[in-house]
Amino acid sequence: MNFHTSIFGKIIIATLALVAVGILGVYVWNASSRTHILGTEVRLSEDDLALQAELIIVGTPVKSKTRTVRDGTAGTLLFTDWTVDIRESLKGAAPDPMVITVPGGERFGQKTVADQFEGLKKGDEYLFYLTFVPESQWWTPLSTTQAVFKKDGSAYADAGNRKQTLETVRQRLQRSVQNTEN
Amino acid sequence: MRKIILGIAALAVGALPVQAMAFSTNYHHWDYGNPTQVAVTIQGSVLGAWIAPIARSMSAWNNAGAKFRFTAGSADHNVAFKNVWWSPSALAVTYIREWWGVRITDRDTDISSRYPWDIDGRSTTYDIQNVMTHELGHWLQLNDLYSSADYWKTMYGYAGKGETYKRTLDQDDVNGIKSLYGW
Repeated sequence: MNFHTSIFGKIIIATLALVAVGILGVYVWNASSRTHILGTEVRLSEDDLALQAELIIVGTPVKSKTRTVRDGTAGTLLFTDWTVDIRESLKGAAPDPMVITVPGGERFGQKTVADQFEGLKKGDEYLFYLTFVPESQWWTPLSTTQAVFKKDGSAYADAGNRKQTLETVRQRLQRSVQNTEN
Repeated sequence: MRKIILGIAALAVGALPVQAMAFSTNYHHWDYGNPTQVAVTIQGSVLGAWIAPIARSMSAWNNAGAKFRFTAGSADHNVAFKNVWWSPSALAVTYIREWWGVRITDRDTDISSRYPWDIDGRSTTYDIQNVMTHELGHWLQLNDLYSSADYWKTMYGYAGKGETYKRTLDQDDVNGIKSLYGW
């Protein structure tokens, strides 16, 4: 008697088929619903970024993992943890490994989209202004639109195409140190 | 033939969008009604003194001349005051839930308790009506604008202390809601 014609075989096949339909159903259900995140932000100048960031690094995202966070009004949101290879640390002592968490991600068909933030791309180089979030114990940009600068030729540009070079960042940090000492 | 190609290319370049966007939307929408009505529920975490300014924010959009009405009521579309712990720079965050990427099913706004707020536009705080008029624009599926040319529009994505101009809709903001819900 062949496996698939035996009662045992039929039960196994039927069970596997039900599991597959169930997984597909969950995926389709999740995919039917999408959450977008928009809002109003405080305008951060370059001086604000330099002053408020606890970490300023230049690095390349190398791998990512999406996590689910449940938060009151927001319900279920997805965030993505990016492991970043650091090329240069301009302010603060970066942890090892350096993991930066940003809003947005996709998991089992469910999607959270932080509008106006295209997300990080593996292999691209960025200048990050980061702060530590004690509630979640993760590092995150001060703002996804104003504190994440993607390499653009010899400079770095944020979502609003505001550009900085590493030299101007170093000079700004030096000025802020001198102002503090005075 | 070369002149024709150059002429078409010139027309195409001339038709490119200017840097300032009139408004930005992906045209997803609430289920249409006549007018479309959306109830806004103000949670108990919101200070009592803020209810009237939020109502004025709703009125700004209601009076735009589009077939749309925000109403005060009890529904699963909430405005709350809370710690938006995951976003250091957010004054307020709106969450938009869609069904199959087309129909809006839910909207909620959290006003961040990280920042100082008031209702009279004083220079040391952020104005509730100013920011909530912007956030309710997101409830309509209008997106943020970030060009410096869009600075004076309600949907400009940044706000400052003492700022109140977002309380009043710019013509482009009005055009946005009308394009979505008719007039």
